[in-house]
Amino acid sequence: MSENTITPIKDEHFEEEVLNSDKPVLIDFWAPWCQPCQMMGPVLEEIARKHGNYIKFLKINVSENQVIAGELNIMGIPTLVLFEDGQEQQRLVGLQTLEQLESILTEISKDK
Amino acid sequence: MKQYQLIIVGGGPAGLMAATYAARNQIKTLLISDHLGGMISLAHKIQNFPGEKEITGTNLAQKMIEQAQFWKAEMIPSRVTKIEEKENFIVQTEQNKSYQSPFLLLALGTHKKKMNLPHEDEFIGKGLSYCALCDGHFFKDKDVAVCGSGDAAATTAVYLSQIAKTVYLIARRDDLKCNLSWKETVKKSNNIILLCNNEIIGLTGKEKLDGLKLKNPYQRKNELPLDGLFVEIGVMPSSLLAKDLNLALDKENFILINNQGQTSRKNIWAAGDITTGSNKLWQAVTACAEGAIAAESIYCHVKQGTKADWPQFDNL
Repeated sequence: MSENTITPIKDEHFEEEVLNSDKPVLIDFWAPWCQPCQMMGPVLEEIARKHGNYIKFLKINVSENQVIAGELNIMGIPTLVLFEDGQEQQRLVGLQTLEQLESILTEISKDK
Repeated sequence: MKQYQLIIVGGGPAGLMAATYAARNQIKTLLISDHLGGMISLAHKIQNFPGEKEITGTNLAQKMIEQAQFWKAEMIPSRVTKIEEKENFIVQTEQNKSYQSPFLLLALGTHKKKMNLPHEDEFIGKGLSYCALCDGHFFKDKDVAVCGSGDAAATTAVYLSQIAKTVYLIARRDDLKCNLSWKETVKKSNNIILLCNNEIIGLTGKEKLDGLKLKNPYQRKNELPLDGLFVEIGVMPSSLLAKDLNLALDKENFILINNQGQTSRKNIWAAGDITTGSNKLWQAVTACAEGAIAAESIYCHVKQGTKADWPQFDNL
């Protein structure tokens, strides 16, 4: 799996890619019909290019993968969920700006 | 820094139509928007756009984007963070990239109003949503409510009625104030329950929203248990950049324009729902018209140069 990109995963890969990851993981729950999700796409791509060496960036299309979204009680998209050591650390619902994401991820990078 | 003849900030119908008109007049045009398609792209169905009996907002927005691109208007999907005026207008995006042009068109549109209830923000994404098209899918066979009484509230209720078990449409007024054809559709639906003369005064739930507190009882109870709430109570102008530029605004912060789309500041035009130009009708068709009118006025100024006369604000 290549670094510095946002990799799409399916429900069945969640345990391996997220819960068992040795790096923090940021997952973008999105759907093709969701305009705010499309709006956040370029911002996330930029963030992933910058922080991809110490955070794994994944995305789950909830129109095709509803199990994990259901288990995590996700009821709105876009939602970003940050996992560290298999535990949910932070959840961001709705459109996020580059500045908001930068400040959160820069905090995480200080610990790495 | 890349130079254009015109920079349009905002990518809804007004910005896109202005881009098409300007680019067709061979004006080197850049459109910057963090939401290409704008608010219309979130609309479930549009039945009153010229030439379209019925079209989804996403499809209409996509057609307008493709039309502007066909005429070679450039587009950057980004948020504008700052606009400065030096010799030209310098427009900066959140990626810290800057672009310049002598003429500027603001087509910033509006954003949805919140209810301003306690805990409203805490329930966003936990049962409370401002976008049925995005989140409706999570409420299949569940009970939801829509707050509002206008076209957006009515169409949202109709859309959700195809997914949810029951849709309560809660309106403060004694009747819906939407288009009559939507009102008919709401009233004919067998799973939309219209609660007029009522108001949401509280939200309940711990981990997620599980109900509403109503001002007036429904079936003798003031608490209405449900799984989701969609807020459609109107819009507010996205006027932050307009304030930074010291443009003249009305009392509700809509940009004052004249009949050419000119603002109170030289070489800045505005068009679409952010302006006072549509008499607050706020339709895709009025936004398109304002975009076209502004682009035509801009074309005249491009030919005359930046020193061309500008009307006095008093005359607006």
